[in-house]
This record gives sequence, structure tokens and C-alpha cells, in this order.
Amino acid sequence: MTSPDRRTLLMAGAGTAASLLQPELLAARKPLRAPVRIGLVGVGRQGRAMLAELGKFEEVTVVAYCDTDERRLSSAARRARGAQGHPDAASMLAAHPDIDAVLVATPTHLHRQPCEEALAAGKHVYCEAPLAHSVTDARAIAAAAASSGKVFQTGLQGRANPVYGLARSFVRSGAIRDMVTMRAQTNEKNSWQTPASDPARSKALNWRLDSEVTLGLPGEVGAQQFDVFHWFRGDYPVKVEAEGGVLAWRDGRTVADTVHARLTFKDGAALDWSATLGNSYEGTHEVMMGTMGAVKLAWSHGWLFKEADAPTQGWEVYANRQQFHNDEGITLIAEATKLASQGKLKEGVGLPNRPLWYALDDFFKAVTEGDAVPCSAEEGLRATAVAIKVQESLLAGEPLAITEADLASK
Amino acid sequence: MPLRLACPAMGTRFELVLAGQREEHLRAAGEAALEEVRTLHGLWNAFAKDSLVAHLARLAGSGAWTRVDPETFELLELSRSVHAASEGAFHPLLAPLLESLGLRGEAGPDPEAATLDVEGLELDGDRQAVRLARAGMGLDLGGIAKGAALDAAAAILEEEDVRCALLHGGTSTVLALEPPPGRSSWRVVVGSQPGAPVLELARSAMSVSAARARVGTPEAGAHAHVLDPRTGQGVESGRPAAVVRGASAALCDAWSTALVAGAAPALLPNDLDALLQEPDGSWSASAAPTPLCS
Repeated sequence: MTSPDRRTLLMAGAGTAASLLQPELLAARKPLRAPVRIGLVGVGRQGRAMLAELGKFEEVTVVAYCDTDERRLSSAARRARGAQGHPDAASMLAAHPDIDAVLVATPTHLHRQPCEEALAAGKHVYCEAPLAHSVTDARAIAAAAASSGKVFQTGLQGRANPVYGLARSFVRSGAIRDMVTMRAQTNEKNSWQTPASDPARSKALNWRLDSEVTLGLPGEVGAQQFDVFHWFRGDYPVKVEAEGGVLAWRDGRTVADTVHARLTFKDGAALDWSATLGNSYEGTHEVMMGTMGAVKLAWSHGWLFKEADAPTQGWEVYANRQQFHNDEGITLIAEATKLASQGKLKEGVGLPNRPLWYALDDFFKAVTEGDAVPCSAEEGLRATAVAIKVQESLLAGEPLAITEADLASK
Repeated sequence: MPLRLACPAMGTRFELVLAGQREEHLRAAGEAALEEVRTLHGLWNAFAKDSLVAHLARLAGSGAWTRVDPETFELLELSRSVHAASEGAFHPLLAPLLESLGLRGEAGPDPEAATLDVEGLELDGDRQAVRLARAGMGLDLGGIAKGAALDAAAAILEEEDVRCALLHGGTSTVLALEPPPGRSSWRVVVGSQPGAPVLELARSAMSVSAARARVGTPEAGAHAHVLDPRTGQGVESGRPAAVVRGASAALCDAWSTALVAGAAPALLPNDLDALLQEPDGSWSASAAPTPLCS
């Protein structure tokens, strides 16, 4: 978990004014105690996003990168000026023994090998989520991380996101009281097809639509969202029932472009999750509803909606509010009291960095200062196992139980 | 039937019209091109707190460098060169001025002159890194970003062997690849008035800028769509609109802005040509090696 004193983050409870980072504090961000030399595995879509965020860390240098796709290697040469490209992680690690940490941004089913190779070479590892496409691979990665003695962080970004950290402190201190129901969605309009004229390259680049290796929507977008609920609640679902199909892109694919799933927790509360590639309405968000209020999270922003009979807190006089049809949300804002006193409350709305930046910042602090990572390999394994169960339920067309053994590392 | 794809970005709507044999491939290439537009929007959006532009503004004056992507670095180099060539009529650092006029929320104090000095936009080509030299500086790429995004999107389409396409950002900046089968060009009508110019585009781009009014806060009053960086005032008269055609959509975008802001037509580079609207609504062509419109 992210330590509270590393950010001007936490609040004592729901009766205290919200306190979160503000842009000025980030601008004066404390430099890392030591430089970090990075090897980046995978320079496709996510690798490019990582390079964009890495450029904001003055103490971090990308010294090498690798990818099996020659065009992407060529493109990365422009993006990672001064770094050397390699065809695979093994040759990159062999050529650059001075690498401190490896970031793994390959397709999900290709995470295991570079993770194991990097850990075996004594490198710290940040691996994108989900950890793997199979429980076997995810367990192998977690085992390698555990025995390495190195920092390993799973890229479940909600756990590193300051808005989510603030919202979690509200929820866990009772602001919405008893959680009765949950929902989440990822809606986008995108065929998920990656262009490639060569059939072999097309198969490699379109791995998300390859039924032999993909975890589909539950894995590629659901895992991040399911884990938000795991982290807020402190437990994992015990049952899942999923259904879906190809409703938007009838181009011969077999991987569902629209999925609905219900994940039920031990106390009977259920998360209704849906994802579609056919419509972008309301995008990506998560909602938790309790007997005294609801929290809505949308990665860069968050809101608290109070029930009419919820007690009024003194700090609410400062609150910035936003209307959603018939509901009024209190914006979860950084250092709300301080900003309000300066007449700058609205400047605190929204995060000043991408969620990925916060995840990487936490990783680098873990590497250089020994801080705990926000999401360990074990937590990554459990979240991955849940996503795999959702996909299995979708494919089987029947509900499945999720047991302790399913989430265990052995 | 051509395939049309669109996405919202940069405060407007980007649209691609694609023609070719395999719709599945066209769609995949078009989505990749639009993804590039969205990525660049995320980097260059002056209104988003988590954009690269906002990050650079927060670090302004701190001395810290930020390594940036090649698209951003090339855009900033281009911005500086158009600023110099237009004798200051195009300006990439107007954010503090726009803020002072209430065009970014509440009106603020007048910016210090030093925050508008383009020399303060420091570029390190070896490291592909950027910094703003003085606190209070801020980039506003609104006069060039749409064109640059279209250039980047077109490059992706061409990489994927999509040859026949028309791309536009908010209809004001347009980029054409090869024309539709059986046609010699894409025909683009500028405006809806009778007698409006019609441009013939093939493997070329165009951009139009207009000095129509937009409104800031009541305290700051109304301001023109385009500011003259040399006076800090909105452009309200003189040249209501300008159309520029050339190979690069970014250059067309930047120079159409500069011409409406008062740049002398004689400053226009030789590989661009322009149509200038007179106060009475009529259009005149700049001295150009080829006729601009039919």
C-alpha cells in the first residue's frame, strides 16, 4: 500500500476535510534518491505510453528496449533517444548489465518469460496487469518475484491513484456506510483491430482477438476495474457469472466484443460489470453504493454522492459540487480545505498526471528508497485469477465459484 | 462506399473518409490514425491538467527538463520557426495572455512580457527535451496542433497502405491523400456563402482561420478568435479570414493563424499559397506559384 506520508494524501475519517495532492506540490516533487536505469520490454501501444510518462522523470533513463516487431523497434528508436533496441529481453539484459529495473509491457500472454529473465538477472520489475493469461504463468511470475528479493510491482493502477486512495479512505472510514451494491463499466467504440498487411504480423499484433491467448475484455480492461473493488473492500468475489458475445463487430471474430458479468462477494453484495467495444457512452468508471452514499470513480476524477439522510460534515461547506442529472456529486479534491481558503478550490479538480505516472512513481520510489509497492505480485496474481475466472465463465456460459485455492500462489 | 470514422479531440471533431478494397483493413488503419490523434490531444491539450503541456507549465522556471516524444519536439521546433518567419504573428506561448483575458477560466493579471518571449521555449535536440525558462510561461498550441495531428494521422494511414483518404479537424483544417477513384482531387468548399472558394486538394492540405468573436469572462469582455501576439489584442478587423494550402497541415494551420493575426502575406513561404478575405467579404489570392482555387 502507498504510505500516506509520501503524499499529502490521507484524511483521518469522513468527518475531516478531504486532503489530497495538488499540482503545486507535484511540481515540487522530491527527486528520487538515486538515478534509475530502465530496460523496457515491449514498445507497442502500452510501451509508448510508458515512454511518454518516463520522460517526466529526470532521474530515470531508458537505456535499452526490446520488441519482436521490427517496425515497432524502429519507431521506438525515435521515442527513446539514446537507448539501444534489441529483439528480445534476454539479449537486452545481456547487453546492458547496468540496467536497474525492467518494465514489462508486452502482450499479456508474453509477460512470463521477460519477468522471469529480468528477476533472474537481479533486476527490479514492473509488469503490466493482468500478470498473465493463465493462472500457471501468473503463479510462476509471483513465485519468481517472491524468491528474487527484488522489487516487483503489478501495474494495477487504481492502487497507486491518489483520487482512488482518497476515495478508499472515505469508504473504509464509513462515509457511505454499508456497501450494498457496485457497478462498473468500460465502454469504448473501437474494433480492437490493429492494422498489419502481413498475416503473421497481423496475428501477433492482434493478440487481443486471438482466442488461443487472449483474456478478452474481462482480462484486458476488467482486471484493472475488478481490483479497485478488491482493494476498497479488502476481499475477493466468491462467484462469477458472465455472458456476452460478438454484437458490434461481426468481422469473423470469436472473442466477445460485449460482456456482462456479475461478481458476487461473500457478504452477498454484487458487482455488475459490463464492457463493450460498440459504444462509448459514459466511458470507464466504477461506482460503489452504500446505505449513506455512493462513490463514483473515473480514474482522473472522483465524486461522493450523499444520501439525504446522511449526516452533514463541517467540511462540506468548502466542497466543490457537480451536477449529474438529478444527483449532486461532491468532487473528491486535493487539499480541499487549503485550496478553499485560497479561493482555488476548482484548481484541485482532477489529477495533474496520468494514472500510469503515479504507478511508475511508486515503483521508482520502491526501487530507490525501499518503499512498499502499491500492488505486489501476490495481489497481482489474485486479481489476475479473478479476471481469468470471469473469462472462463463467459466461455463456459455458466456461473463459476472462486475459491481460496483459485487465488492461492500454489 | 467510403468508410467514415470520427472522434472528438482538440475541442472539435476529427473525421477520416477512407476508400479502398478491404473495409476491415481500412477500419483498423483508420482507428490507429484516430488513436494517434487522441494521443496527441492528450499531450497538447491546454485545458487538461494531466497533459504534457500542463506538465511543462507547472515546471516552468524550475530548470527541470522534460524528455518528450518526437511529435511534440518537432511541433515545438516548427512553432518556433513559424514564429520567427511570421515576425511574431504566430506565437506558441500565448497561454498566460489567454488566461489574463479570461479565456481559460477566470481572468487573471496581465502576463509579464518575459513570459511571452519565445527564446524562453528551450529545446535540447540531443536529448529531445524541453523546458520553459521562466515561471508563468505556458504553451498554447491551438494555432497549429490540429494540423500537426492530421499530419501524424495521415502518416499512419500511409504506413498502412491506405492511399485514398480525406482527413479533417473540425472542418477548418483538411488534409487529402490520393483523390477518390475517377477524380483528380478532393473538392473543399470554404464556407457556405454564395461564391465561396472551392479548393482542389490532392496530396496536399489546407487550413482556414477566421477572426470571428469568442467571449471570455464578463470582466474581460469579448475577444476575437485569434489574438495578435504583438499587441495582445484580439484581431477584429483587417483580414476576417485566411486560407492556406500546402503539403503540411501543421504549416497551413500555423500560417492561416498568422495571416489572420496580421502577418504580411509577403512573409508566406514559397511552398504555401493563400487566399485572403477582405473586410467586404471578397477573396484575393496571395502571390503564389500555382493558383490556389478553382
